[in-house]
Amino acid sequence: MPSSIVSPLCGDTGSSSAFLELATALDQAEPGERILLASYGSGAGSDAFSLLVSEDINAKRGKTAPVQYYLENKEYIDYYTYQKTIGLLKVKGLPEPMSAIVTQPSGEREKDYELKLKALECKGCGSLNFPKRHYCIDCRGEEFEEVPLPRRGNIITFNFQYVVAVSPEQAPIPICTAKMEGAKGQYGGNVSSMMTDCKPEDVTVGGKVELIFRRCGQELGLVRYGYKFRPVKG
Amino acid sequence: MAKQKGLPVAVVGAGMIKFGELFDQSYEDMIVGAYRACLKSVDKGIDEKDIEAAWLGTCIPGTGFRREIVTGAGLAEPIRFFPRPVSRMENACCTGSDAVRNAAFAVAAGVYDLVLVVGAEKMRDIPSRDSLIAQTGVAYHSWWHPRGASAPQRFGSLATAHMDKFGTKRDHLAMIAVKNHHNGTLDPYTHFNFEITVEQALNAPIISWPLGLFDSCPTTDGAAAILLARQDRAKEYTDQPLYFLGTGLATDPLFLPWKKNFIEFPATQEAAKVAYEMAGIGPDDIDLAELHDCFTITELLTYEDMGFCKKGEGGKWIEEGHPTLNGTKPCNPSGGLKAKGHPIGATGVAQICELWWHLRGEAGERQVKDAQIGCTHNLGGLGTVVLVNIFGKEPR
Repeated sequence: MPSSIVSPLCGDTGSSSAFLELATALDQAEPGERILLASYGSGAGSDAFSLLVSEDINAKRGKTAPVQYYLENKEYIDYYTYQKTIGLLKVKGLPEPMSAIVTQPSGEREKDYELKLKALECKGCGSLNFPKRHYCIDCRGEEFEEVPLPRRGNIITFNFQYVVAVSPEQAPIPICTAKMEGAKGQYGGNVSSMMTDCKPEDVTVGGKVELIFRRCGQELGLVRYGYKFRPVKG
Repeated sequence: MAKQKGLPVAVVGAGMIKFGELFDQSYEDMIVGAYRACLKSVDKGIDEKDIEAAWLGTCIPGTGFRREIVTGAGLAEPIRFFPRPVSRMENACCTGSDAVRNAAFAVAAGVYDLVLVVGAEKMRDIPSRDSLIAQTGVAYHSWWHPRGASAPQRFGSLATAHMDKFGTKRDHLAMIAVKNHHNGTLDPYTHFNFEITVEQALNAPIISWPLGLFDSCPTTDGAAAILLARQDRAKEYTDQPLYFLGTGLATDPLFLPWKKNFIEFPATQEAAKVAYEMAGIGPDDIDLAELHDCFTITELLTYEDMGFCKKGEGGKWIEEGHPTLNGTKPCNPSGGLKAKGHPIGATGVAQICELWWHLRGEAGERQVKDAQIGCTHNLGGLGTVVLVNIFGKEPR
C-alpha cells in the first residue's frame, strides 16, 4: 500500500500535516481508489477518514502545483530570515502596514473576482475584463460572459519594491503585470500583482507566470488572502 | 477637441513662497505668503476688493496633514475674503492646474473680471513614510491593496517597459535628475538647492527598481498664487500679462493592469493635442516647458508624449542635452518637482509662476532667452488625469 507521508522531507508541519499528506495522495490517486487519512496530535485526539477517489480527480489535476513541486523547490533560510518572514521579528524604520482604506466590506463585495478569480469576457469584442467592470475597458460594451480568469500569463513589465508598506520584511518584492494566456483586449486581459517564490533574477519581460493563492497581508486584525504571481519553472 | 481658439483670459500677477520643509508655517501661513507675493507682483497695483472670486487647490488634506475637510473657507478665512465665493478643487496632481483652468473658464464665461487662484499643500507635518508611500491614494482598487502598489512602483513599471522596448537606461533617468537639480540651484524657491552627479543618482538607495531616491520627487510644503483677469482688462494691472492660449485636460485608467501599454501616457498626448490646437501652435513653438517630473521616467515619457521628440527617443533627447537650460527646448528651468518639491495642490500654480518670470524676462540666472510661449504639464495618478496649459507673451 503506497504511503504519502512527507514529514521526513519537510519536517513536522503541525495542523497542516494531515492535509499536506492528503494532497500528496490526491496528486497520484486514480479514480476508484480508497484513501485512508489518519492523524493524531499530542496524545490528545485522533481522527480517521476514509475517502473514495471519484472520476473528477482528473479534471482537477494540473490546476495547481503538486506537493512534489514544493518539495523539489525548497529554499533553506536561516532562523533570522524565518523570524522576519513570519513577522516574529519587527524590523525598525520600516513603514507601518497599510491603513484600512480598502475596507473589509470591499473584500466581501469583490470576493468572486479576488478570491474565486472570476473574470468578464466582453460579448462585443472579447476583451477580458478583470476585476468586475460595468462597461468594457476596450469597447465600452455592457454585455459580458462570466469566465474563469486564466491562471497563467506572460510578464509585460515588472519592478522591485524596496520601500513597501505591506510585508516590508520581505523587500525587495518583485511586482509584475502580465498578459494572461488566451486573454483578448488591449486595455483588458492584464493582471498586476506581487510576486512570490522567486528571486529578482528570475523575473524578465516575457517570462511565464502563474497566479497562486497566498496570504496577502493583515488589516484590522484580519488576515487578507489573495493571489500572487510566481514564475512557472521548467 | 477644442472648440475655442485661446481663452480671453490673462495672468496679471503670480507669486509663491519658497517651497520646503516648512515646520514654522501653517497651511494658512503658506496661503497668506503666496497671496501676498502674488499681490506684490502686480505691476500697476491692485485693489484687493476687486477680486470677485477665488479657487483653492488642495489635494490630500486627509493624508497630508490630517485635516479631513478643506473647503473654500480654507482660503476665505486666512485672507479675510468672505463672503466672496471660493471653490476648492481636487484632481490628484493636476489639482493646481485644474483650479487655474476652472477659474479661467469662469472669467472666459464672462461671470467675473478678476479672480484669484491659490494652490497649497502641507505634506511635511507628518513623517514621509506615513504619507503617500503608506497610503492607497495611489492604489485605489482592492485587488491591489495588499499587494504593494505605490507611486514609485507604478511609475517604475513604465520605466522597465520603456527600457525593455527602447533600450533606455537608468543613466538617462539620472541625467534628468542631474539637470533638474542643477536648475534648482538657480531658483530661489526650491526645496533642494544642491547639485548631484549621475554617479550619485545611480548609486543612491533603490525605492522601487528601476527607480532610486534621486529618480523621485520629495514630499514638500508649499503654496503659490496667481491672478487671472479678463484679457481686455489685463493692461489695467500690467503691461506684461501672460495670455492664456490653450488648455487641455484628458483622462486614462488609474488601475495599473487597465493601462493600454506601459511606454506612454495617452492622456498627455491627448491633453497636449487639445491644448496645442486651442493655442494654434505645435510642440516646436514651445520655448520652455514646466513638466511633471514626479519621477524621472515621467519627464522622459513626457518629452515623447508632448511631441518634443519621437516615441522611444526620450533617452537620446536628454543625452543630447535638448531639455537643459542652454538646450533647444529647456524643460523644468525651475528645477521641476525633483528640486523644487511637489506640494501637490501648489505644483500646477507654481509652474505658472515660473512661466510668469521667464516670459517677462525676470528669471535671473536661469532665464530662458527670448521666451515667447511656455507650457505647463501636470500629470495625476498614473497618467490618469493630465492637464496641459499654454501661455504666451502675445494674445492669440
